[in-house]
Amino acid sequence: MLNAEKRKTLFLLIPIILILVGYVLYPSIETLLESFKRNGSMTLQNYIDFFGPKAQSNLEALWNSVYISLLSVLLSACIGIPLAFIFTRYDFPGRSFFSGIAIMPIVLPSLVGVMAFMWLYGEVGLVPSAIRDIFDLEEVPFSIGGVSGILIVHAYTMYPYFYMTVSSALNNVDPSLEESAANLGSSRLGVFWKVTFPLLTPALVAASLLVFMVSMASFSAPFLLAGGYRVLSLQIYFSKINGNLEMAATQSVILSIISISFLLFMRWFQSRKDYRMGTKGIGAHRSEVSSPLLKWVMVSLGVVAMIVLLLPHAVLAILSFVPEGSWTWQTYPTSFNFENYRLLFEDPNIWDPVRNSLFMAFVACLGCFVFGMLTSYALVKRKFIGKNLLDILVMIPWALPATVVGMNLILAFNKETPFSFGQVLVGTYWILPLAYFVRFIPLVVRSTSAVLEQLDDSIEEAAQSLGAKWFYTFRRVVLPIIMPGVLSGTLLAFVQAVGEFPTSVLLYTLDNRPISIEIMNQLRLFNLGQAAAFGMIQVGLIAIVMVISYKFFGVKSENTL
Amino acid sequence: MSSVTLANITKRFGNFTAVKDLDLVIEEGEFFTFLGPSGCGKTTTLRMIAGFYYPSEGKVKFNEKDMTTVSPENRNTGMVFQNYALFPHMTVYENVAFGLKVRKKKKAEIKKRVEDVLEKVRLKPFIDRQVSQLSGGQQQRVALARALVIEPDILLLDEPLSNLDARLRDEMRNEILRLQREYGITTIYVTHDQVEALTMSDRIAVFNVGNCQQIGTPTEIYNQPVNDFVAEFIGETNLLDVEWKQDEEEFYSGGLNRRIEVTPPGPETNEGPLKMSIRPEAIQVSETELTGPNVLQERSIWFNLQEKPCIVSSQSMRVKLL
Repeated sequence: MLNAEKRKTLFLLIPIILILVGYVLYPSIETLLESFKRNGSMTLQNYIDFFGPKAQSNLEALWNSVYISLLSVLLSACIGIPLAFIFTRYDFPGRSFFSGIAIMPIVLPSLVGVMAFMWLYGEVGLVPSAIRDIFDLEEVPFSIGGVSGILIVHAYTMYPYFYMTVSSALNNVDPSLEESAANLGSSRLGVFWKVTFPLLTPALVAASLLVFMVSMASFSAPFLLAGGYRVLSLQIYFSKINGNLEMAATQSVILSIISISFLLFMRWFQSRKDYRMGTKGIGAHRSEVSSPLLKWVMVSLGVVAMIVLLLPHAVLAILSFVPEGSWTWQTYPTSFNFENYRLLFEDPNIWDPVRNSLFMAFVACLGCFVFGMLTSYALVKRKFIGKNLLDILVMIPWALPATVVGMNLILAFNKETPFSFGQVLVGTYWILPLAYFVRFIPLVVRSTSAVLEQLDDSIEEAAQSLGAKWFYTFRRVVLPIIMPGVLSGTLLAFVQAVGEFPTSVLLYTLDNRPISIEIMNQLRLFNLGQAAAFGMIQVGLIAIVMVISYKFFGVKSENTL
Repeated sequence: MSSVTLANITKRFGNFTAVKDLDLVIEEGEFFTFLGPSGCGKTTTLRMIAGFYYPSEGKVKFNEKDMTTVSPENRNTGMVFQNYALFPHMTVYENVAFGLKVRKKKKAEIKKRVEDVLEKVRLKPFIDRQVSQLSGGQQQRVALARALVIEPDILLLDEPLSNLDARLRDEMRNEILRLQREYGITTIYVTHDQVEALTMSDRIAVFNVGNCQQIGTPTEIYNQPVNDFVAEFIGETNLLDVEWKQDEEEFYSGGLNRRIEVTPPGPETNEGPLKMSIRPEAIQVSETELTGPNVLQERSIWFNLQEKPCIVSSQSMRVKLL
């Protein structure tokens, strides 16, 4: 007979496993099966085509993806690490303000960010054109596009991963370690290489892996900037658009294998014993920059960096006031008014995407909230066989590139299945909320688990021994304590769902087209102002959510990544 | 109020046996202490009484009722945890009222009972504080109040004083005793501190590596330890090897090179090594000559062991050797 505890665990696990198997595992398996099919029979032909001489483009796309990802890691590290050092180790006027600005790229959804970069630095971009006109040049002096464009956008959007992990690692380094090394006679450089750097390696490796995975999965930047350059995430999209689902599945499997092996490697790396010690949080010692010259060099560098960082936001805001048809062949926009915003609220066709995005993100986040909370509770506080496996299953949607998640769902739900209650989900409204839900489960689980692990078991036991049943204990004791963690995960999921592009572009229909898809459509119509206005709506929503989560729940946006 | 019977309890975690063949009865209203070094199985036993673990073998009974597999929320025990386990998101009032709310008492009754119990632990002025704003000793008293207010059948205290400083510990010891006498609740107290055990308990069970070594009143445990582990763990003592000489019918200490006379007589047997435990206060030291059976002389100082040495078996499960 099962005792009461085991029964409770079982009741908790059944829905969790059903959902994970139905919406994570089953779609992945469908994709795997599809990749072995060709005209209805099982074969390895797709893989032979992928690696064989017949389809050079696939292999080329794979190498390009790896190449771009490696360079992205390098570039983001070059920006993020020095910034982290400057802001945590030196004190100069405006330090905390600049360090706040440094994380601004994360409020820019990927598609909007790429769009802003195109307008700023593209072939007819504002910055190159302005330089040409100021210096009276024949041609624009530079412009981004292709590989360089993708890399610059990646560096801009991904350096915060390095900046934030290294900053927090630096803050955790006990200054007395460095002081004792200096006291033993080590030079400043020696202290850095022999003490500080080894202590930072776990953070550096974690950030590198993260950036590598994110840029392997990156879709928006290649989508808008690649031109003829092939990368794997984009190839999947093209195969699907061309109706070659089998090849799309094969490409997805290859990309999944890379991503999941990175996930497993990261888990292994983080579970390794490292030499962080349990010293209590000691405030970082910041050296005051005393030389006035150096001080002002730093401040002015800070100002320049701030301008570069905020230019995309600024150009987005300015262009959102450019009405349709007033910026076509002209170098600079000619007129500004509130037309785009007026249309947003008056033209139902233009308002629809905003409503869709909000509604779908809300539904998906509600799901993530409930499901993530229960899953995290089961993973952290319950004992059962196969926990490690369940943990990996939960994290898979996080490791899989968004394009792959989209393909998995297409291949799983383009027919009637028990998991979709006997309906064909692809082509309906509900496929997108489902996709958002699946993609953002790990965010909620991770942030909840972080808080739950801090919660001592005796708190629950105390409630139980005072006579509270399990559900009462969960509702009145556990839930209020872990709420900040659950909410910060959910809000982050909401932020990402509002800006979501790669899965949306694979799964949207006319009825449920979200903001990102409408931005793409407006770009195709060269209605840049309206696209910018949509972008501003996204940025505004994200900013509101972040302010709310900071003000009401004390959740710092830095901590949510 | 109820008595607690543990019948042949064994608790295994995988291959590790935490508690082995434990058999004991705790009387109604008794202050009973589980004493032992860390890792000896005393907390495991307490958690089996609270219902957080179920024994692998044996039965737990409250009065005559079998509670072996009853879940914790249906046992009506009040537990005070080592780290207090106060609910951090609630005020003092809400923490104490929790158990009463679960029992669906009326608002007015809850209020009255919470105020009464907080009066008893002298925390009435802090009723609306967040628990994080209290000192360690105050948090301790909130935990006590929270356990007492539900009028539990059994009060379980898991090393409640180990996180307090020496002065507070003294004060809280008296406080707990006072409350226990006032409520007359059967109380089980887990500690590794022998002073706490000896000063507070009606009876003590001494544990070592999963085995209960001896059960008795503090005086019995101190004066007639059953083996060298108990003798050494409780109080200060001198342990010396002795042997029983069947022919001369006497105990003989090789180290002191003399026969030892004891009352009451120890285990008169050759089987297994024996030790004698001499408490420091049992030794009479004098600069003038002393006479008697157990007098030793070292230069011009006489030591009289009187007839107080206690002969114990040294076959207890030992972790460390002398």
